[in-house]
Amino acid sequence: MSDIAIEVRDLVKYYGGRCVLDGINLKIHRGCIYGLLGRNGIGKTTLIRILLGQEPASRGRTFVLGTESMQLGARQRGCIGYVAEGHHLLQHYRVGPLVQLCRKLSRQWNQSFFDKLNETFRLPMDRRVRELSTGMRAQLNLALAMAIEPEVLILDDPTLGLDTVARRQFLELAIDVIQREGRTILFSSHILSDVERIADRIGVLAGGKLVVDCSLEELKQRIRKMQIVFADRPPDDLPLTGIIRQQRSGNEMVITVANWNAAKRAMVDTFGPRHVAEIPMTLEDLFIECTNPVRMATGI
Amino acid sequence: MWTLIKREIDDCRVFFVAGVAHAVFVILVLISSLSGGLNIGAGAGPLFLLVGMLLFCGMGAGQMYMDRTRGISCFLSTLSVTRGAIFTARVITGVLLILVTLVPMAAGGVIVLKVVLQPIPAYQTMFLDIARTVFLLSLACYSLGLLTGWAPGRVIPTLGGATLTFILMPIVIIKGFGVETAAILVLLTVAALLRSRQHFVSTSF
Repeated sequence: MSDIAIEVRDLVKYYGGRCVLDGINLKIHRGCIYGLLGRNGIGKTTLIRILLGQEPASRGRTFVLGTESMQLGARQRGCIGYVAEGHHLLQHYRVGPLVQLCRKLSRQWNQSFFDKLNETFRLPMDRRVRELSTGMRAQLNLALAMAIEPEVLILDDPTLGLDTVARRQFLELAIDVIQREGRTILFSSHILSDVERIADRIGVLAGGKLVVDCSLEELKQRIRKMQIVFADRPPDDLPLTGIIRQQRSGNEMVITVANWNAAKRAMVDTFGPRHVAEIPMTLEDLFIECTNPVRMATGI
Repeated sequence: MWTLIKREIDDCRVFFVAGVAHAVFVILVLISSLSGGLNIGAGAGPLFLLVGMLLFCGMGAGQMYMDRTRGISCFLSTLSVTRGAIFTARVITGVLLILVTLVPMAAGGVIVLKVVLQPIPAYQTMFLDIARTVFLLSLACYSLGLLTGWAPGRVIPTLGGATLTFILMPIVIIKGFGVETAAILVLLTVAALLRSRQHFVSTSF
């Protein structure tokens, strides 16, 4: 059995002449929680739909559990749990019959795990899905996706519409699932603190490309935000490669730079700064920097 | 597969009720007219046929339209189910509706043949020809419903199938219930089903 759960090779997708995904390459190993980040409309959902075989790629190939996405059969689909953005459940069904339907159509079904989730979420079995709140629909969708004991769980902005308590519960459950051997989670979200909490690898989509694909620690190592205070006015331009952003205020300069190292520090020192300090960055700061259009020229 | 078929039947129970009601109504009218209680005109047969065909076409279009608007196959295909299996279950459900509607009518026809009319062999042959053609016509109308129901918007799913049914009916009226008509209907059904399946399985949803 291959160690790779999800693989994307040179994926290109056009929508009405617009290139949404431009040469994406990605490998997600088994047991990994991969956080996929990107601004609205950047192609995260499209990438997920192509992975699930719900949409054809314009070019390139995608594989889930070793099978090409468009060739996924019933058995392979049974190994993939999916929580869609907007939670597209059968709205006209009551919750109870919908659960029964999913149980019957699933390759495997862990009733005790579902009951445990239901105990937490307190889903009303006699109500129609369309009568549920967004949060409850998200919980139901998540419970259904997790009860099939998926080898790969794909979550497309799953915490959208959940309140803080439900979001916390969800994250704990996601961790619970991943702790079962060999589970893989591809997790796309706008709530960066969620991704920061659970993901052990991060991918950032920007301008149709996967501009970041590394662990969070590696990302924090690669991109640094430095505060440089000069005795006088800061220089107009610092001759450094990889500057993503620079801001000036009085005699202070703040630069965000890719691949910060001793050589770059030495270069800064030649300008005789009074003080150089690193400003800690959260994932949100890193995300904003990575999706900054200037980044294109710096090549993170 | 049975779960998928059962789900389709659940979603389309209104069509099944309408089919049974149509069959019962036609049998009652037939019995009443043969016993001299009701005088139906020559146009009643084609009218009943047209209503039946619109029902089958409506069922096909309804199944696909509901799927598209409610995201049924989009959700089901995230389970251990392929879109091909969903389509097959859908077609089986459509055939079941046709049988549920036509079998009682055919049974009524057989009884009428045996009890009321003279036992002339020509009647039997004619009855079999009519039964075969009506079944194939029903299947063709249902397939056209499937084909037009998946189209985007509301106009084509609502009116497209009905329009094609109106066009299809004169073929039977002009060509009669012979083998040629059956061949045309089989070809049309196969083409419509293959195109619908290809559309359903391959397009993004």
